[in-house]
Amino acid sequence: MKIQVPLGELSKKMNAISSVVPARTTMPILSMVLITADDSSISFSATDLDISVTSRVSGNIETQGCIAVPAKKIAEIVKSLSGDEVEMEAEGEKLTIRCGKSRFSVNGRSAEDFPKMPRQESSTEFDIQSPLLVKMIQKTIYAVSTDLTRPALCGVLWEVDRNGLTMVSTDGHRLARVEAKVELKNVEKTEVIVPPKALSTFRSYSEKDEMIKVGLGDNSVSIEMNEVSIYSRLLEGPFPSYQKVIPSGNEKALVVPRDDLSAATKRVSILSDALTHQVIFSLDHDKLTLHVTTQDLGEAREELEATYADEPMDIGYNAAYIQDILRTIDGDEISFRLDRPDNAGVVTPADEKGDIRQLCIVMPLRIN
Amino acid sequence: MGRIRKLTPETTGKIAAGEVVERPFSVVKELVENSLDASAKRIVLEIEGGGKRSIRIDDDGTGIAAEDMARAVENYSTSKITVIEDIYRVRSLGFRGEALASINAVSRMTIRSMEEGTDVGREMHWVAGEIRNDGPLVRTNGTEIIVEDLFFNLPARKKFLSSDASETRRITSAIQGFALAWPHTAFVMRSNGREILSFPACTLEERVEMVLGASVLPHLKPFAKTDGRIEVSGYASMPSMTKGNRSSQFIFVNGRAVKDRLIGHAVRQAYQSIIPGDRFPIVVLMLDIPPGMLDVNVHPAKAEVRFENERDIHRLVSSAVREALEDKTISFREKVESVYKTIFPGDEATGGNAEDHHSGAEMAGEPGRSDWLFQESPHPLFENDSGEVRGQVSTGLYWQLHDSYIMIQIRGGMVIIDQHAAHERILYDSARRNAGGEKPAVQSLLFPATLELSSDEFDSFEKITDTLPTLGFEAEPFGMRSIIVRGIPAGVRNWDDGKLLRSILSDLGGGLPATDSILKSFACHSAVRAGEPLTLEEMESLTDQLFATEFPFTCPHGRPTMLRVEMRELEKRFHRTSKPEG
Repeated sequence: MKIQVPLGELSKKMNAISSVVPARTTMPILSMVLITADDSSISFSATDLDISVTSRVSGNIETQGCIAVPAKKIAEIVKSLSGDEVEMEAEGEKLTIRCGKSRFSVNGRSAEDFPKMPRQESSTEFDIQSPLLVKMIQKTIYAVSTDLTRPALCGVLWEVDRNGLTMVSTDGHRLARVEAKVELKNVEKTEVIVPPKALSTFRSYSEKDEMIKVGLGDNSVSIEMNEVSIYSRLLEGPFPSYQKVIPSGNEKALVVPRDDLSAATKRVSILSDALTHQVIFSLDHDKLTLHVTTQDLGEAREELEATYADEPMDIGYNAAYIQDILRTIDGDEISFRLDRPDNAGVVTPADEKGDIRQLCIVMPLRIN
Repeated sequence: MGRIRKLTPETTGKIAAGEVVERPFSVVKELVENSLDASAKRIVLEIEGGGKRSIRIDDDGTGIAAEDMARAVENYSTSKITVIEDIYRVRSLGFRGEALASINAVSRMTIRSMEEGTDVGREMHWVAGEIRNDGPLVRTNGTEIIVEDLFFNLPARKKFLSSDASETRRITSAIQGFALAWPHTAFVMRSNGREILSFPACTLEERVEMVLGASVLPHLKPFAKTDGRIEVSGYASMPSMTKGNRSSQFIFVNGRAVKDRLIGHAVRQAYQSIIPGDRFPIVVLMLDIPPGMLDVNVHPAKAEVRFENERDIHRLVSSAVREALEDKTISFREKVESVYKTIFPGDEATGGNAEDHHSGAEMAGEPGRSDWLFQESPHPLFENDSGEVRGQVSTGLYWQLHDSYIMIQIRGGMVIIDQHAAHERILYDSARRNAGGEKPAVQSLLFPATLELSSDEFDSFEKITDTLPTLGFEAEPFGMRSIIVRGIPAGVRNWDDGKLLRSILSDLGGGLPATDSILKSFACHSAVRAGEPLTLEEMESLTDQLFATEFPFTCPHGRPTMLRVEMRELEKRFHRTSKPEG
C-alpha cells in the first residue's frame, strides 16, 4: 500500500476517529486504526465492537493494500506534522509516514487481525437531512439515563413511520421528546433504541448539510454520510411506554422568557444543595419567584415577570434538569403546563414553529 | 446425727471479710473511702510488696474519737448511718460498717488516730481481730491505718493474689480513679518507698491532665448537663483519641468509682457512628444523683449501683457526651484546627516551619469548605483578573486512584480519602438530620417502580414504613408483597431501579430495626461505590461536603474515611531524611 493524502484532511479525520478507539481494552487490536486503500478510496476504520466507524479520505492511491496501526500514535504523529501532503507506505507490518523532511516508521499489525467491519442488514431505510438529525439528537441526548440496570433507558428511542421521526429519551426523572414531520418514503414503522455514543459520534462528524441514509436493522443502526459510515449496535428494549406518563390534564399555564429564566436559575442555584440542586418555583399572578434555601449555606431569591393566571403554588425542581431543558429548547418564551406540586410538569416552546415539535417532562423535587 | 452446723463467728467473719476484702486493692479502696468521708485534704498511701506485705494510709481528716476506736472495728459499726433508711440518704462513700472489721479479721492492723479538737488520740493494734496493744497517742488530727500481712490467716485466699507488680497496678489505678473524682484532695502514693503518684490539690482540669497526661488533655472535651435533679459532668475524648479497652473510662456516681453497664452503654451510644466498635473513648464522668434515687447497697464492695430511673440517666449521660462531641459553640475553624492537630499529630496547624506564611490565624474557616487543607499550593496554575487563585489551585490537587480513592495534596503531604466511606458519612449525617425533623427532598419518579419483595423484605418494609419518608422514599404496599415506589431521595446515585431499597430491606432482617441501623444501611447502599469514576467537580464537592460533617474522619461504622501520608514519611522511605538538600 502506498498513498498520498492532504495533511489537513487527514489530521481532522484521524482526530475524529480517535474518539471511537476505546481508551482501555483487553484486545490490543481495538486500539488500532485500520487503513485501507482499494481501487476507489482510502479509508480509516476503528471499532470498539459496539460501534464501528469508517471515514473516507480523498487522496492519491499508488498501490492498494491495508494495515492496522496504533490509532493514538498515528493521530499524534499526524497532528505534529507540518506540510501539505503526507505519504503512507505499508510494508509487511510496518507503516512508513513521510511528510516534508520527517519520516516515521511505525510497527503495526496485519489487517487480517483487525475485526471485520460488520455489514448492516437493514429492514428499513430512510433519507434525512443531517442538520435535522443533529438538532433532534441535541434535544434528546441530555436526558439519557446512566443507570445500567435499565439498559433501555440508556439510549434514545427512535420511532419512524412514513410521517416522520420521533426521538424520546428519559432517565426516569425527566423526559425529552422531539418529533419531526417529514415524509419518509417507503419506510416501515419501526422502533429502535440507539446508544448515545453512536449519536455523539455522528454529531462529531456531521459538519455539512447533506442528505444522509439511515438504515435500521433488528439489532443495529447504520448512518451513511458522504465520507463517513457509522455502524452501531442497538440497545435492547422495551422502552417504557412513555405516552402514558405525558400528562394531558395539566391546565395551569406558566409562560416565561427563556433567557431570563435560564440566567435566574443559574444565579440562585449557586446556593443550592450540592446533591439535590433543589430550586423552588413560586408561582403567583403573573410572577415567578425562584428561591433556594440550603442549610449551612444560605438562601437566594429572584423574581421574574411571567404570564400566570392560576392559583399560587410552590414546586421544587432540580435546577440542573431545568437548565438542561432551557439549553436545548427553541423559542424566546417557554411554556410550563402544570398540575399539582407533586405531578409531572410539561415544558414546551411557547410558540411552536419550524420543522420539529419539542416537549419535555420534568418531575418535581418534592418539598415536604 | 444432723450434719448441718452453725458456723463459728470466726468463720463467718472470714467469709464476710472475703466479700469486702478480696485483695490489697479492696483494702486500699475501703481505707481511702473512709479518709474521704472524714474530709481528708491530703491522703498518703504507702504499700510494700504490692500491698500484700503492708498497706499504710495516713490522712488529715477528722480522725476517730478515742472512745470510738474499739467499736470502729466491730462488725456493722459505723458513724455514717443509724437506721436502714439512712442508706438512701447517705452521701458518704462508706456506710455498711463492715470494712474495718473485715480487714481486721484477716490481717495485723494498727490504727493511730486523733480526733479534730482533742489533745490526745489513741493507738490500737490487732492481730486477726484480737486486740494486742492499746494506748494513748499524740499526733496532728487525722488517722493512720497500717494493714500488714493481709490474709496471713487465710492462706487459700493469699494463694490467689497476683504478683506484686500486678497488685500494685490495681492499686495505682484505683488511686488515679479517686484522684479524678476528688481533685481538691491531695494524693500521694509510694510503693516500696518510692513515690509513684503525687497529685497536689487542684482543679478538675488540672487533675485530669495530671492523671491522664498532658498529651491527652487537648483531645478531651468537657461536658456538663443536668435535668434539674441529676447532674452529669466530666470530660470525653474526641474521636481522635481512643483506646483498645475500657481502662480509660472513669465513672463516678456521687464520688464513688463504679463499673456500671448502664452508663457505659450510654457513653457507647454517644460515640455511636463516630468511632469503630472495637475502640473505646477516654471518659471521666461524674454523676451526681440525689441519694434517694440510687441504691449503692447492691454489693459489699459497692462497685455496682442501681438507679431508680435508668432511662432518664441513660438519656442524660448520652446526650451530655454527644453534645460535647458536637459542640457547636466552637467555630468551624477551631474545630478543624483542633481535629487537624489531633488526627494528624505532629503537624501543628500553624505550620511546621518558621517560614510558613500561613499562620493558623489566616486559615480559611468557612463551613463546608475544605480550602484550609490546600492553602499552600506550590504552583498556582492560573490567576484570574482579581489575582484569586483558589478555584484553580485545587483543580490540580485531586486525583482519583483506581476509581476508589481520592488523593489530595495538602500541606506537608497528602490525604487519601476513601470515596465510599466519605460519601457514607455525608449521607448518614444528612439522613440523621432529616430523621430529626428536617424534611428531605424527594425526587418523584416518572415511571413509578413496582418492586416484588421476598416475605422477609416485605416484613422489613412494613416495620420501617414510618422511617422511609424521612430518608426521602415514597413507597406504599401494592398488592401481595409488592410495593410501589413513587419518589426516591433526591440526588441519590444508586437507585438502580429499586435495588437500593431492596438492599436496605434485606439488610434489616427480622426484628424491629433501630432507626440508626436503617440510616447506616441507607448510607452504605446509596453511597458512591469503590470503582466508580468521579469527575473533578464530584471529588471536590465530596471533599467539601465531608469536611462540613460533624465527624469527617470516620464513616458511620467507625472506620476511617481518610489517611494522611506525610512528606516526612516519604522522605524517610526514600532515605532523604538526613540532609534537607538530599
